[in-house]
Amino acid sequence: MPAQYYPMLMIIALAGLIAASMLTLATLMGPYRPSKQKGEPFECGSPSRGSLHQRFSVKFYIVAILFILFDIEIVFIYPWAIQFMSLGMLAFVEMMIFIAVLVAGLAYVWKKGALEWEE
Amino acid sequence: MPGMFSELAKLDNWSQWSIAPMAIVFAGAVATTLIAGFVKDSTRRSFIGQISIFCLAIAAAVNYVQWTGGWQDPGRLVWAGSMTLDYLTMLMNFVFIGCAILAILISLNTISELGIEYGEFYPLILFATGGMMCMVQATDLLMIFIGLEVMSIPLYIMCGMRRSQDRSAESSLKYFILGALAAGFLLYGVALTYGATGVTSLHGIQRWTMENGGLAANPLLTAGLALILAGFAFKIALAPFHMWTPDVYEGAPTFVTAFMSAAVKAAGFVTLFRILVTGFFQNGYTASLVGWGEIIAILAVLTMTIGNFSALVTKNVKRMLAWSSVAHAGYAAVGLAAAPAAGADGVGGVLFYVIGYALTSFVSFGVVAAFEKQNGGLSQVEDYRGLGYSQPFYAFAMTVAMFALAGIPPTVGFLGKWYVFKAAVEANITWLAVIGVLNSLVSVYYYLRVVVAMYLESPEEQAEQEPIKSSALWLAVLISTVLTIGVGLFPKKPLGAVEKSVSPMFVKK
Repeated sequence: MPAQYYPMLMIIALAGLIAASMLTLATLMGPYRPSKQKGEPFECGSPSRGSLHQRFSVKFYIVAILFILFDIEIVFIYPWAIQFMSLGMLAFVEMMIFIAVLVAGLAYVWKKGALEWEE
Repeated sequence: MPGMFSELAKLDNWSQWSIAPMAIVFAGAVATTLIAGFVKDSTRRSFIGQISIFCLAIAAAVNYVQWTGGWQDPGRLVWAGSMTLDYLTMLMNFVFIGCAILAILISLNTISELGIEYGEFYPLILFATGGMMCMVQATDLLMIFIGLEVMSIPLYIMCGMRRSQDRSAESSLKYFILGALAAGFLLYGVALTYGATGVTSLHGIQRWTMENGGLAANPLLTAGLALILAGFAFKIALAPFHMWTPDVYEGAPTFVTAFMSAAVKAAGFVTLFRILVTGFFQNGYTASLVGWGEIIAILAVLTMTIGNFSALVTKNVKRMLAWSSVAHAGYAAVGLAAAPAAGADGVGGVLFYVIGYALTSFVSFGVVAAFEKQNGGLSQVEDYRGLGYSQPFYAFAMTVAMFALAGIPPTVGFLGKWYVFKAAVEANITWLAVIGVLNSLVSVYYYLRVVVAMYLESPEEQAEQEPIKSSALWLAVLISTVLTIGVGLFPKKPLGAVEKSVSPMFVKK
């Protein structure tokens, strides 16, 4: 039974080997000329400013959670749509129930004002 | 995976009918969510509670129809083999619906007394109830996991409902982090089990173990079982996975605590013994070096002893009841430890015990809820002094609860203990029953201390002992008190239902 897992073990070993050899070779053979500019944290080419420890509005999290919710909805709907013809009526009804539950959630969130960005 | 889809497309009408009560509860949850979002006026929010009780009552009625013959073929697998509808599921559906109704009744007026009139409480408790029903009905590890999560996530939110209280926030966060950890354990166990056997359905696992020489032949499957066991031990608070219990139970609003200690514990125990008996029993058990029975026996001893001795030194009544709920998980686990040898008697003992404990915990936590105010109220044992004269009804209910928890006849607590200890003796693990009885003796001290305070001691000054005025709360305490004594006096019908539920699990097919 463990024989099934040997390919996986080999992939892990290979991945480790490649990463290690890249780092080793770069350290041994690459040129090393440090400067002040190279030592700065790199961010889109423009100099970074301000404190790293900022507090974000909780709204970002709500939007992110809602995004994941509808993202997952697509993940479910897509294979269903591909197989639609062979699945028949039952699957259609089930998908409609699933979407209805999500719409109910959306209506709740909307009414609660989670989608309003400015007070 | 075209195979799975085509199998789903072939489902017969049996599948839909089998989940009717659960579907009604979930439909009620979605409907009440919408109402909670659209009703702005906080005084009208108890209306949502009444709708929730109505939904639960319909679900109970449908479940009753299925129980009395509306379901022709108990034990039939539905939904492509991932669920079943047997008498065990139907009995537990009654228990969960009953627990949810009692919790809502307790909450209806106390929720405003604590300043937490969120209409969202009612959909949350409905979602949690539906999750439990799904978990108990499932015969597939993945479906069980989904049910467990649907049950747990609303509970994390409900624990933190008293947002202005530090203890409530602590309760919610602690339960969430440890619950997530437990879910991780469980899921890892499921993954290892799947890796070893190639299936996630309980019947498939059983078939695999019978054909491949049992648990001992496969360390991967043994590790999977151990992790699943650890995950469930978290949920039902078996030592050494019990550390969260006192803080979470104390910080949560009392009606949520009652619901957790009654329904969640029952759901956890029933699902655990369904997994163990259906998935890992028979040949799988006998061929393994150390069976799960022995492991659970050790956990039971630890749980009983730690729970009881911690309750002994606790002065806060709600916290004492939380420790006592740890101890009671230990007593129920005695029946589970006896299950490999005693069969249906062991599992039936567990089932009867957790149902009896659910009734009792609604009495005790109901009384605690009646005297819990936003600032203060009664919390310590000393605060209950003289309650027998100022509030005779609630004091009597509390006395019944304490007698039932201590295992004194004629309450349901005595019968529950009798059946689990009898199963342990039948299974030839008498030492476990002896430790259980000794633990019960220890527990009598701290239960009776409350009774003594209520009837034999007088308060130092004229203390205020006014309960929250609520006929719903009064009714919930009355119903559960009557049932606690009633089932203890006339156990024939409930015992018959329990036996009908568990005996098919031990019939070889």
